[in-house]
Amino acid sequence: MTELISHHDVARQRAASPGPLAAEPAVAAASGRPPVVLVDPTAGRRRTTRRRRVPPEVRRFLGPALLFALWWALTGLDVVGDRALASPAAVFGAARELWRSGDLVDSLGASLYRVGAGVLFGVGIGLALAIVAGFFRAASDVVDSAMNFLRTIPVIALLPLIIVWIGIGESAKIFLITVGVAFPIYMNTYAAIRGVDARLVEAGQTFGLGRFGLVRSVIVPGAAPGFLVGLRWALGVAWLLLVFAEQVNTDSGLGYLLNSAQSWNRTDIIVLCLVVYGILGLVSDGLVRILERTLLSWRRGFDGT
Amino acid sequence: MAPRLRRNVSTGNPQRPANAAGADPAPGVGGGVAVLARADAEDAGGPAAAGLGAAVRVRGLRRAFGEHVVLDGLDLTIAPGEFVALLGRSGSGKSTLIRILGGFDDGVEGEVLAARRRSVVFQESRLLPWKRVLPNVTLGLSGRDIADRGRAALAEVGLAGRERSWPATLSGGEAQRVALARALVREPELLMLDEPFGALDALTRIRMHALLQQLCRRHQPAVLFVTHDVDEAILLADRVLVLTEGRFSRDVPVDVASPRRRTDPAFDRLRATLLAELGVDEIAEGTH
Repeated sequence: MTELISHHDVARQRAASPGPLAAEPAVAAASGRPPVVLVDPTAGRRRTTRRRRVPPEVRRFLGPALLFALWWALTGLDVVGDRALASPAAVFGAARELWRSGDLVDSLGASLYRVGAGVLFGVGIGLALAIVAGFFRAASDVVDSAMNFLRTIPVIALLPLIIVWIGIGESAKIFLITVGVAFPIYMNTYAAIRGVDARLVEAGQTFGLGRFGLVRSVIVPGAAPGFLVGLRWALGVAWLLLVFAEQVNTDSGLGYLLNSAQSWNRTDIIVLCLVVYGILGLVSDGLVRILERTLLSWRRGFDGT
Repeated sequence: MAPRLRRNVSTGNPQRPANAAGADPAPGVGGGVAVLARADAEDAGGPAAAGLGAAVRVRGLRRAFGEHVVLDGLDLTIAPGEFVALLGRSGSGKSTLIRILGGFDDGVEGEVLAARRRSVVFQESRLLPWKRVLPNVTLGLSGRDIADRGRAALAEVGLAGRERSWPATLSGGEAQRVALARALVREPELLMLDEPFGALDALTRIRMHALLQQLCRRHQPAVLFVTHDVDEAILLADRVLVLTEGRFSRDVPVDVASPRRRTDPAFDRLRATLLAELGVDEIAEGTH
């Protein structure tokens, strides 16, 4: 009990009365009940002055800005040598150099194409499998067990097999990303379809929705949140796999640039590539956020405090 | 709108059949002959569905879940426009009966016929959270004037102007009124309500009672009102049924002068009878 009382309150109570604050001690004594100890449940959490709130956009920007400042400080104060970690200025210089030569644009284009195509195919396949398994009980027994078995195999372990099957060309890279993307999309969408409230489905039937109407008005919107969780996860996987895919016999793309920079001993370009990866990850996450905001505008979920 | 494919349950038919007094917006009791359809039938409106002067006809209905018999040889007839309240302890099979009449249960034995145009109001509003209020009301309907009909239904339940609200922003009472509008916009011949006000606070419930009475007077559907609240049943119904161990143990007409008041001795007598039937002794249990 006493742990709940803030120090401030305890001090005040001590000053006012010798013991803890008791409700009507006379009555308590008369009835033989132990006295009720009163505490302020809001103690310590009350806002005495109106706190000035930092806008969420600024707070979102704060994290990356801190990282940037740390980077600047580490390199500027010569804590790490220029060979180990290039300074922001050097990286900026590298960016300008590669932009002028067109290497940065070419690499970015090649990588974006691979990720884009892989995500497109992966989402298509994952979604199709989830819909088939989600709607047809017989299909779910077959598809879901197969997917759960395959899911446990690390995708990167497939790389040798993919090279044997379809070589080391562009399609192998896209294939790897497709496989990696399909699983999170499938797992989340399937679970979301199966998790749609049966009572809403029943209500839809009561009010005359046919099979197609149920899918369109109840199941697809009901499964959308789960799909978007899968999409976010899938995009992360896609960027990760891109790095692996681009280490196998490539002459374009960010991964190629990264590898080349290593052989040229250019840490500024290596760091530049890492920064570009980070920005691309942020941008794709932002795109899913926008998608969520438009598709799930009906939700008034808990946003955190 | 989506093409409306045939299902094993045909409920939401928005078109009024020609024999259902199409010109008269409020046919009197028995004025419109409800077209009965087998609630579990593949093709509602078959030869068995000819007009029988009833909105519900059930003969020898039996429903068992494994060993456990929930409904055991039930007979029930509800006349068009009649308001029947169904009382029973929890687990007595009230909701099972609604599910059967709604067409959600295919494990039944016996004859089950219910009006083809029927709608349900559930205990939870069951509004689709991703649709605004108006599309929720007109869910599953097609036609050119459905938006207007939906707006009119919303106005009837006192929610004009809330067409574009999200269900998540509605209070419990408002959500239930939207559910009522959604049921009534279909002009049902049979309206089933499964403890519709059970989750509402006492004040909202009083207002909902008045609203439901007013709407029933205007639309004249046959009503099957499932509740566990004896007062609510006496207040609203023409007839009260008590479901005990799979059978109707009581079937009493409510002969209380309207407007019905809880202080009326007839009200009190009926309440005592019904509570006793439900196994509650008011005085011994100290509810008074």
